[in-house]
Amino acid sequence: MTATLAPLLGSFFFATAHAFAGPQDRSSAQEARPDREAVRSSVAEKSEPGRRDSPDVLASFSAIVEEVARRSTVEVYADGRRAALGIVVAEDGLVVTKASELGGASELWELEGEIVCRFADGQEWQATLLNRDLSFDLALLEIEARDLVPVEWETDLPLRAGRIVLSVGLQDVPIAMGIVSVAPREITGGRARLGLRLGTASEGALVREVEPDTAAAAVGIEPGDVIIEIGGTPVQRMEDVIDLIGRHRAGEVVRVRVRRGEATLDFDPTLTVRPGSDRSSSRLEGDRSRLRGGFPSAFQHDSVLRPEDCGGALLALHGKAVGLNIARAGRTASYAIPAAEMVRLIQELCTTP
Amino acid sequence: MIFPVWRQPSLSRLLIFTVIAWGGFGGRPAATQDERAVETSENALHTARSTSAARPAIFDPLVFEAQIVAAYERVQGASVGIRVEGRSGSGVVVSGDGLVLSAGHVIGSPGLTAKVILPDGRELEATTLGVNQRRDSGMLRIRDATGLAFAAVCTTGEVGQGDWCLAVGHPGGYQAGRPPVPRIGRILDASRPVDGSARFIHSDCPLIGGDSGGGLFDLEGRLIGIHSRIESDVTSNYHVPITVYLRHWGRLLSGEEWTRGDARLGLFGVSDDKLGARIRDVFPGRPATAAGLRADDIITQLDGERVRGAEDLRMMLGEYRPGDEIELVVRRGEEIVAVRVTLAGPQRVGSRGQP
Repeated sequence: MTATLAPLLGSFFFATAHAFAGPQDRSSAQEARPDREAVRSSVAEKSEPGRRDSPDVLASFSAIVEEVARRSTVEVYADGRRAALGIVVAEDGLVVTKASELGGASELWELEGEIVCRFADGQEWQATLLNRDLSFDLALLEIEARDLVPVEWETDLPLRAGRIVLSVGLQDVPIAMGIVSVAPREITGGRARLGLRLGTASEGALVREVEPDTAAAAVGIEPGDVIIEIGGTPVQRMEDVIDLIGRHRAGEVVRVRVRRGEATLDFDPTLTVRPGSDRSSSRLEGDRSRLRGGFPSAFQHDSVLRPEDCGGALLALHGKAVGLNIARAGRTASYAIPAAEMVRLIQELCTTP
Repeated sequence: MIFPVWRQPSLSRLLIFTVIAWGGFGGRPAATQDERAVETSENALHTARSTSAARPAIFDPLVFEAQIVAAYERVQGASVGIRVEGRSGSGVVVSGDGLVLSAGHVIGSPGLTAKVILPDGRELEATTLGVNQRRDSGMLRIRDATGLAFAAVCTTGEVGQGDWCLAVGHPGGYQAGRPPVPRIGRILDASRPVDGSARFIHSDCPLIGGDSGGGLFDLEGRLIGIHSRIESDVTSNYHVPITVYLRHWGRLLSGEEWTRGDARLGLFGVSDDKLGARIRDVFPGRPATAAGLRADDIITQLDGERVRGAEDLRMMLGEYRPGDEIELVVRRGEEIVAVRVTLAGPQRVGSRGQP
């Protein structure tokens, strides 16, 4: 018993209450990403009788989800990989999905290959990326399909604990059933980093070390450089760097001005996510989304989702959408953006460049 | 592999824990123990309604949702966070005057000062009481408490495979501003052996570190188990059955810590039977004989918990001390009889290994 305990408890030390976004989880998740056929069989496996997600349970919700599944939901493929689900938000071909799942293995938001949306009837449409909201991790896609049926959002229903939520995929039964665990709140974590170890300088922040394979290393920031400005804001102390960078989301580009000897140099690193927790902890947590924190507002539910099940609609029992699944955060938690936020965000995504 | 569900800030703490888990027994005068048990039974164990908790899988979704919301509202106020010696777990308040149930590995050992954090953020001082190390169950008492919100205990321990249940606790440890976190699931096995030493309720309510000691409730909001450990499969989670607490209530209240007892019934040979444990014969002058048990009687229940064979009977007796009184349900031919037996210690040469 002691032997099996020790590594686990050690790992709990690292697994803080907040969600981590771990790029190194990515490689294993990437390899394990099932193809279309494998997805179906794995769903069948978890659905043994007598379980919360067994077929008879899910079937009793089919009347509630089938319309949204058939007409307003797409599977999103990025470079042939089944990356996420998406929701139709406008008749003329607009779809929202989870942005960071569309990226390749090395970069969260750098697209590799084409994006394809697939409907329940088998129709596939090539999609164009129109816009993104990095803080909520949403992407707005456009397909050439017309006369679509957008999902109906329910913004007035209180998201109280215990309320049943149904995650919709392309099947005529929910892909998972769960309950609201925690009402909407800010979800911390997933914040950006440069990849530096800093020291004090008389004015600014001294770069003592540059971690390999980070944003700072990629653009050529070197030990000995003194950071004097970030995003146009002067840096007086080491703490300013942490504060200024922490306000950004991974994937954003930030201007960093340094003094190197007599010269003043400008760099534009693309910020990366904080490394996640260690492997044994994620083994207990199950497969998680790469980006699973840093959402200004999300509610927590207990539906057992896979990372590629994010981006789809979450329905209440009256059949309207109360949220969009935005992250599989760990063993006990999935996060969803509340419908009221979604209505506002879709508006923003459609109108701001 | 099965892991306890708790959070531990450092590895050295673990070593301390595993050492103190083998600590000695704390004796208390029996009279006081009984008085306190009675006092508590009036306060905490208010009798549950006897309607069946079992739910068919096909249900009316709206009724189902209303049950979940109501059950959570009933138990939310009683679902506390616990901090003891750097360990961070959960607990369930079961009496207005501050009796709290938790997992044995959260409590650690008796007589420690603990902090209980109520869902509204109030932090209260508590003292750890008894710990049943073998069954991972423990109790603590909030100091000078009155009028606390508390959860009803399911006194029958009625749990059936396929029943819906609600797990509540503080995953990751108590977080200010985040109420106790409910999760839904079903009972996969009401009594599943783990590591060959104890039986747990097995459910697919997902748990994680920090949930240890939190409550598993039926959809009427009655406490049926306490979160204990998990397997790497997300849907494989284990809870200590509430019957384990009920059977040893007095010992837990009195602040006793124990790992195993050496109580005996005085049976000469037991074999597996599909109904329970079949007695081959009984030793004269020993508890079983005194209670009127005979050869070929089949023991089907011990203090309300089902006996599933000879090894199970040994395992369950291992929790008791000589002098403890237990109730057995026995199948004798077509008859079913309930028998009270006062257990003895191991006595005879040659009775070694016999229950």
